[in-house]
Amino acid sequence: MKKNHKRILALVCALTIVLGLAACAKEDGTTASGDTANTENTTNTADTSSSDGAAENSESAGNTVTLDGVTWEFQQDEYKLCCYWPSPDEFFDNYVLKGIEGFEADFGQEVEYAVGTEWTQNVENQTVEALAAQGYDCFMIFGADTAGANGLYEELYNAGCQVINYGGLVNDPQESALTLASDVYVQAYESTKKLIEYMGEEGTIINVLENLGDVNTVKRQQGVEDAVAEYPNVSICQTVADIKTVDEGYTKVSDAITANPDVTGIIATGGTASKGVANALSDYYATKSDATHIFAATQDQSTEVMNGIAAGYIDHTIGQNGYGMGYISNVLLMYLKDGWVPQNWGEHIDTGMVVINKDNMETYQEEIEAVTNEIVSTIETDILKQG
Amino acid sequence: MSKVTNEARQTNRPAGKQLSPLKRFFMEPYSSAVVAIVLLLAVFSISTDSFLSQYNLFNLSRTASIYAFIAAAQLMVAVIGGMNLAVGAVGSLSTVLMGEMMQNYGWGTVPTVIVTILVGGICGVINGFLINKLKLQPFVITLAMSFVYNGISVGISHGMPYELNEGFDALGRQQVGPTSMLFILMVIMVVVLLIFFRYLRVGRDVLAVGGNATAAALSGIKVDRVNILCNTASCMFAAIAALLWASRSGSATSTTGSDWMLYSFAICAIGGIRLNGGNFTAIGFFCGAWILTMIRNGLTMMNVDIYYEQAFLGVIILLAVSLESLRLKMAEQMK
Repeated sequence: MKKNHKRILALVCALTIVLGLAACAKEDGTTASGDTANTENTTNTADTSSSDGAAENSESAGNTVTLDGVTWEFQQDEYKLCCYWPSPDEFFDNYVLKGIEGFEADFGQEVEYAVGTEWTQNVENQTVEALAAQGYDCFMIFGADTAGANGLYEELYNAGCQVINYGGLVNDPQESALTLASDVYVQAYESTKKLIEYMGEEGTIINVLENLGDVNTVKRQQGVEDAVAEYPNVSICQTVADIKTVDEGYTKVSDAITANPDVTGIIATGGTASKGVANALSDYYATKSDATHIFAATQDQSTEVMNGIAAGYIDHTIGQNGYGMGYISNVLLMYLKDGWVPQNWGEHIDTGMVVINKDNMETYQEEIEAVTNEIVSTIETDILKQG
Repeated sequence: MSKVTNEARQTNRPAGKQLSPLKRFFMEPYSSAVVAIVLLLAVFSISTDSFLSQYNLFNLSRTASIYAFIAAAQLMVAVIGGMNLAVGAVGSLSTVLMGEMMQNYGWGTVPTVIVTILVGGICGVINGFLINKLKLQPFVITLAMSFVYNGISVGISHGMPYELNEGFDALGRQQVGPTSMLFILMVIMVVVLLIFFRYLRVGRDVLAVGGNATAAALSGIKVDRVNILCNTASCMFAAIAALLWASRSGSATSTTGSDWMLYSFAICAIGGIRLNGGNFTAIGFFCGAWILTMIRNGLTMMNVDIYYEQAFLGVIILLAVSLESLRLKMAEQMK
């Protein structure tokens, strides 16, 4: 290839990269890793004619917002709100993002969000730091690493930002103002008790856990074991753990079912492990001609799990209030920015749960939104105080 | 002459002195993998009731078969002294494209399978072309391309799972006599690879390039073409593995392939395939896939302490590969 040809080729390649990056970048100059949830509401004076339930009876004017007859007054016209989720996942897209969209419609604020490329604290730190450098100062963050997230939160506080941790607990001491998440212990405990009811209060259970180094997994394991301890005729025949991917969960659960041919129930208390359980059970019933029903309880509302409930091989799943996490976190951040402070620093606000089975799989979202409205109504009385 | 390694043939033994069949076996590079399989089989079947159950053997055969296809993706570049760090990323991209074609475009199973494998092939052509033209290490190129393929995969899917065509899971779940359809596919694949490397000129050219690329080029072999061919085959195997995995699990998500890279290297290494190129042993490769599958399965069957499971896994793999070191010492003494 001649020298000139090489130069032209290099120029074309460079132009392609530049044009490609320009096309990927958004018009408002925010990160390429996420789109704004609702670009229709660009200012807090916009009409809140959203299709989401809570927005129907709301209106906002200037920095005053009226929702269901309740008036909210905020000091600023615009808040630099930002949400981070560690990696692409349907729970975020289908639930948390819906909550953010509901908030945007109700409060007329715009929320930027970013989704990490991989579930690591390193990627989370880099992305959030870049967003902070762009001027965002109110963050709702799912801590990718329950130990490492606190370092990021502390750093953001030192830079004058407000932080809400959501989705899961992080290790003590808490460096975020509040945590909005389900009570994983209660969920695991209640889910196990319900599973044992199906089993007729006797038999053996396979307990499926995720990352053993995660404080949430430890609490879930405790919840399952405490519930089982209340029933003398029920025992855990095997615990499988350290499941980081759906495929790993699928393989390990398949092996555990084979190792325990007389097992009566199976419980998964993490979202990824639950998808693995769903795939493993689907495979089990399809390939084992003499398969008997194994009672199964899972976590979260993934497609795999919901398909399992519809098909009858999963008996229930514990639905988390992702909508509430997305909605309430942003309301709290606006308060915090206005100078309100938590009544108890680092307090865990339980966003609630709903047991989803074949009977309510079409209607459970209404129950979740009712819980959200209840929590929002207690912000000034139970969660925050004037600073 | 075939370049398939056979240390026994290369040994300078005095004329007329014949080795016993057992000694001849231990001169073969795959013998340590066979011994490891026998030992693992003995340990796991003695220590657990269900390991040799028909259903577990069926499951084992399916998992080992898919691992073999994943390892074949690495094997095809390892034989020329290369590597493919994008094995999992191509698997992820293939899974997502397959899901898109089935769920969002309503394509039938056959055209979807063909296009998915072709897409895998295109990924391999791109890898091979870049390695040839940029004259950079395969490590760098395939690492960079793994980010590209993963990024496209996640960008298209947003982490959402796909619904597969009805009946697509039959291949991954079908039982054939005492074994699975996937196992039969695995055997066919290993036999095809054996014929390719032992009896076809192009296969011998590949091994020659892996043995010494400069010498191969001087003898008239087009090294660049071999490089592209091997990278293409590598990514096509990754795409096939993705199809088989989706067929077995009944689900297609972008997270498929996230742990394939390490497995692909491990199976080749355990099976006695030198990662710096130039050799292929069909039996070793076959055994490598089974060893890794049996260890993981056996640990769950034995209900080992969950907190130490990774440590057990590492120790058993180490013991299995240590047999190769022992075999080499024995082979040296026999010389």
